[in-house]
Amino acid sequence: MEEEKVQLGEFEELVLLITAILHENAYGVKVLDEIASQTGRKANISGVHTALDRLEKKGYLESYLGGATAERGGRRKRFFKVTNLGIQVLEINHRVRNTLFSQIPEALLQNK
Amino acid sequence: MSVKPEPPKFAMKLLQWFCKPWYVEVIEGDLYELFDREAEYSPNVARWKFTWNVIRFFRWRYIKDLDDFVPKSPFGMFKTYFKVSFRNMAKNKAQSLLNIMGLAIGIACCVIILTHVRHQTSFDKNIPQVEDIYRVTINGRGPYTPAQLVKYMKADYPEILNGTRLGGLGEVVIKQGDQFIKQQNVLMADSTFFDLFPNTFIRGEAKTALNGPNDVVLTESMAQKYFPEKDPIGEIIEIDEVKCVIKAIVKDAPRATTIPYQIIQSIPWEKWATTGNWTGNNFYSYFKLAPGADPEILESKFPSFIEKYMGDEILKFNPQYNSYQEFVQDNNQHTFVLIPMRDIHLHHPRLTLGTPGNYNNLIIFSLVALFILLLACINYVNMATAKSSLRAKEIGIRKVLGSVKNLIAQQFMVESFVITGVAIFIAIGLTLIVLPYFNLISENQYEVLDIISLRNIGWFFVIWVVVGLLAGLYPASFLSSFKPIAALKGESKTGGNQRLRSSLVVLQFAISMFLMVATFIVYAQLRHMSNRNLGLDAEQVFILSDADKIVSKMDRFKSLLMGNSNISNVAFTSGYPSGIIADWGYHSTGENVVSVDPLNVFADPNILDVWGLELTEGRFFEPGLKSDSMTIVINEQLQSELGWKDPIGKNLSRGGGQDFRVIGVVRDFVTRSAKNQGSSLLFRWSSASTPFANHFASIKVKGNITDALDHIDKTWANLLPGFPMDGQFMDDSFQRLYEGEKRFGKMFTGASVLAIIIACIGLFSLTAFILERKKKEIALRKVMGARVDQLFYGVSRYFVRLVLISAVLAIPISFYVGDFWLSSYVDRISLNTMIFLIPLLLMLAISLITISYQTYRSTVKNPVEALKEE
Repeated sequence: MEEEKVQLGEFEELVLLITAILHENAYGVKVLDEIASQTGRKANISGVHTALDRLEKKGYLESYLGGATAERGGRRKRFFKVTNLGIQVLEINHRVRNTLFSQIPEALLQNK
Repeated sequence: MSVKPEPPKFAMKLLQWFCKPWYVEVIEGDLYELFDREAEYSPNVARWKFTWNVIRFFRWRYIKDLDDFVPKSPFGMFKTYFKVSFRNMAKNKAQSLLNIMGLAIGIACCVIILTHVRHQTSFDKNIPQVEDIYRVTINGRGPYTPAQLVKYMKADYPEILNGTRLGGLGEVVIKQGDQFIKQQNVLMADSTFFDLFPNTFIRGEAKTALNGPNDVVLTESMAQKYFPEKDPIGEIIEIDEVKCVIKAIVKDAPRATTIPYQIIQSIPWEKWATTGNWTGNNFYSYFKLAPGADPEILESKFPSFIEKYMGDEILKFNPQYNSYQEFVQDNNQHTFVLIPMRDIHLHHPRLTLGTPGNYNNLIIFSLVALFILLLACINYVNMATAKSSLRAKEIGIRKVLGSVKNLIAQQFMVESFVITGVAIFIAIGLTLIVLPYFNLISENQYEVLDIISLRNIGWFFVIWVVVGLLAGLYPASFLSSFKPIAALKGESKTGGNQRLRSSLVVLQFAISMFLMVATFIVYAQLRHMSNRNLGLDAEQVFILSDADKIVSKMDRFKSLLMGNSNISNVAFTSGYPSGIIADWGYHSTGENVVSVDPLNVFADPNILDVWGLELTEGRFFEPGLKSDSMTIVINEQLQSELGWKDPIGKNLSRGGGQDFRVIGVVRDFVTRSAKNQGSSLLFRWSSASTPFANHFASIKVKGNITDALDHIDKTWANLLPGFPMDGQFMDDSFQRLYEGEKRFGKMFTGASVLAIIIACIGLFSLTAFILERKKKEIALRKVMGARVDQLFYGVSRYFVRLVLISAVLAIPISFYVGDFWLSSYVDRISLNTMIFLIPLLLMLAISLITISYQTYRSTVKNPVEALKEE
C-alpha cells in the first residue's frame, strides 16, 4: 500500500479507528456511542452506517451478521472488522501525521 | 411493569418501503436499540427521533432500485438490456464508433436542415392576422403597382380594412457631419404601415410616426449607429440631401421577414403619389382584408376597376385598339392579383423586399438530409446483421434459458435506441460545431439557441424514435429468429441475408452517386454561366454607381479620368448589363402597330466603345449632335420582335406624340442572368441634363488595373469629397447574379461529401466483416499458391460489381433530375457522358481505396495465423 493511494475522509478515518479499537465488537450503535464517548462528537446513525458501508467497499473493513437476540426487536447486528488493508491504511496515516508533526519547530509549540 | 413502548409503525413501514431489503434488518436493529435507550426517559421524544433517523436514511445508497420496487416488471430486464448494449459497444469499439458517427452525421444533417426549414417557413408568421394581409401584384408576377391603387381600392371596396404602400428597400446616402454614409434597407412607407405591420415602439408612437412628408423612424440598431450618445427624437437626419425629422424608434425588424427595414421614411413625394398616373408602377401595395373575406371574390371585381380608372391611359399607350374591351379581348391580360402575405417568402420570391426564399431548394435539401440519414440507418442495419455470428451464441443461450423471441427482439431494439440516443447527443455537438460554416455557405445567421430550443427537443425525440425504429427493426426481427440449437452449434444462418445486405449497399452507393452527379451538373452549369459569351467587354468595364451626383461636373470628370493612360473611355448611362434595367412601353407607328416592352437604356455616344458593342446597321449617336436627341438605336432582337426588315428611319412611339427615329442596330448582348431569355433593348440618346439618364458611369480600363482604380478613386474623391465611391467591374457583377447557384453548389458538395463518407463507413465495416468470414478461404488459397494480387482481385471484384450496379441505377435518375433542374436555364449545358463518367470513376476509386487497406492487410497476412485457429 502506497501513501498516495490512501483515500480516507476525516470522518471515515475516525470510524475506521473506532472500529479498530472496538475489535470484533463494532456495529452501528456501538460505533456511534464510542465516537461520542471518545471524542465528544455527536454523530448521526445514518452517517455512521454510510461511513461503514463506504469503508467496506474500499476494502478497509469487512462485515458479518451476528446472531439474533431478544434485544433490538429481534433484529441481528452487523459486525465490522478491520481488514489487513485497513490496518495498513491506519499505519500509513499515523506515520504521515507523526512525521509531519515532528517537523513543527519547537518554538512554535512552546509559544502557543 | 408498564407496557414497553414500541417505535412508530408508520416510520417502520416507510423504512421497509424505500430501503433496500438487504439493509433493512440491520438499520432497524440499530434504530431499535437507540429507541429503547431513549424511551426510558421519554417515549415521545424517542418516537420523534426514530422517525427522524428513518428519514435521514433516505440516501441513494439505501434506496431501492426500480426493479426492487416493482418486482417481476420489465424494468429489471431493461436494465440488463442497457448493460448488455453498453458492454457490446465497449467490446466492438471501432465498429460502434463508426456506427454512431455515421448516425450522428446523418442526424446532424437533419437537425441543420430542420432548423433551416423551420426558419424559412416562419417568414412573416409573427405579423398579427397575417392570414388577412395580401399583396397586390400585376398578373400575380409584377411586384410594382400604381401609386393611387391603395387609395381608390380602399375607398371602393369595404372588405379592404386598411392598406399601405411601400417603396424600396433602397440604398440612400446619409450625411453625418461632413461625412456621407451609405445606408442599405431604407423603406418608404405610408403612415398606415404600422397598422398592418405593428412593431414595438421604444420611443414615439405609431399614430404620429410617419405623418409628415419627411418623417423618419429608426430601428434600435440604427439609432445606436447614428446617434450613439444623444436622444434621436426630433433630431434632423439628412437622407439623400433631404432633411428629415426622426419621429420614433422601433425594435429591429425580426429576422424572418420579407420587409427587413432598418430605417423607414415617410413617402416624400405625397403629391406625386396621389396624383400619379395609372400606368407607372412604382409602389408595393399591401391590403388587410376583413377577417374571412374571400380574396377571390375581391379579385373578380378588379377588371371593372381597371376599366374605370385605367382604361383611358392604357389606350393611350396602345393606340391600335379603339376601346378597352378590344384591348382585353386581344389577350392583353392586365389585372391585379392578390397574393397572401405568408406565401410571399417561399412561393413568390419575386415579391419579397428581402432575401428571396426558394421552395424547391428547401424541398431538395430536406430530401437530401433524409437520404443521408437513411444511408446511416442502412449502415446500422448492415453491421448489426453482418456481425450476428458474434451474437449467435448469446442469443442461443438466452433462448435455452427461457427467453422468447419477443424479449430478444426487445433487447436489440433497446440496443438500437441506445446507439441512436448516443448519436443524437454527438449530433447536437456536431451541429453546433458546423453551424458557423453552414451559416457562411447558406448566408444565414442561426445561433445556438435555434438548435437547442424547446421545440427542437420535441423534434430530437421524434428523430430518436424514428431512427431507432428504422435502424433496429430489421436486425431485431432477424436476430431474434435464430434457432437456439443451430445457433449454439455454430451453424446458424450467420451473416444473415447476403442479398439484402448487398442491395442495401447498392442503394447507398446509388444515393451517393446521384448526389455526386448532381454536384457535378451544378458546377458544370455554374462554369458555363461564368464563361458564357456576353457580347460585351465585361471584364474591362468598371461601373460607378451614384454618377448622377457628379453629372454637373461630367465633362471635367471625363477629362480627368482619361488623363490616365490606363483609362481609354468613359460613358454615362441609366443602367448597365447585369444590373436592373427598366423596360418601357413603345409601339410602332403607321400601319400594323406593334407594342413592345424593350429594356430602355439612356446612353451617351461613347457607350458603343466602352461596352465593346458591335453595330450591325446604321450608325450610333454622334457626340455633340443635338438633333440626335429624338433618335434611338435598337438591338437585333427588338428588330425581329417588331418584324422590321429595314429598320433605319422607322419610328417608335412612347405615345402622346413622342416619336423616336431608329438610326442604328446593335448586335444582341447579354443583359441578365442565364435564367432569362435574351431581351429586346433600345438605347436612348442622353446628355448631362437628361433626367434619370446618368445614374451610372462606365469606365473602360485597359492595362494596369490597380493604377486605373487608384486614379478613379482619387478623381472621385477630388470631385465629391466625403462621398463614398461605389463601383465594380461588370464581369464581377455578372458573377454576383449566380450567387444563389454557388450557394446551392456548395451545399450540394457538402451533402454529397457526407453521403460518400457515410457510404464509405458502411463499406469499410462491411469489408472487415466479409474478410473476417473469408479468412480461412484466403489462407487456403494462399497456401495453394495464389498471389496477393490475385487474392486482392478476387475480393474487390464483389465490391466493384456493387458500385457498377448502383451506377446503372443512379445514372438514369440523375440524368432525369439534372435535366429538369437545367430546364430553368435558358443558356444551359447539355448533359454529356463525362458528367456521369467522372463521378463513376471517382466512386470506384474511393470504394477501392476504402476496401484496399483491409484487403491488403488480410491478403499479405501469414496464412498459418488464420489456419491455426480452431
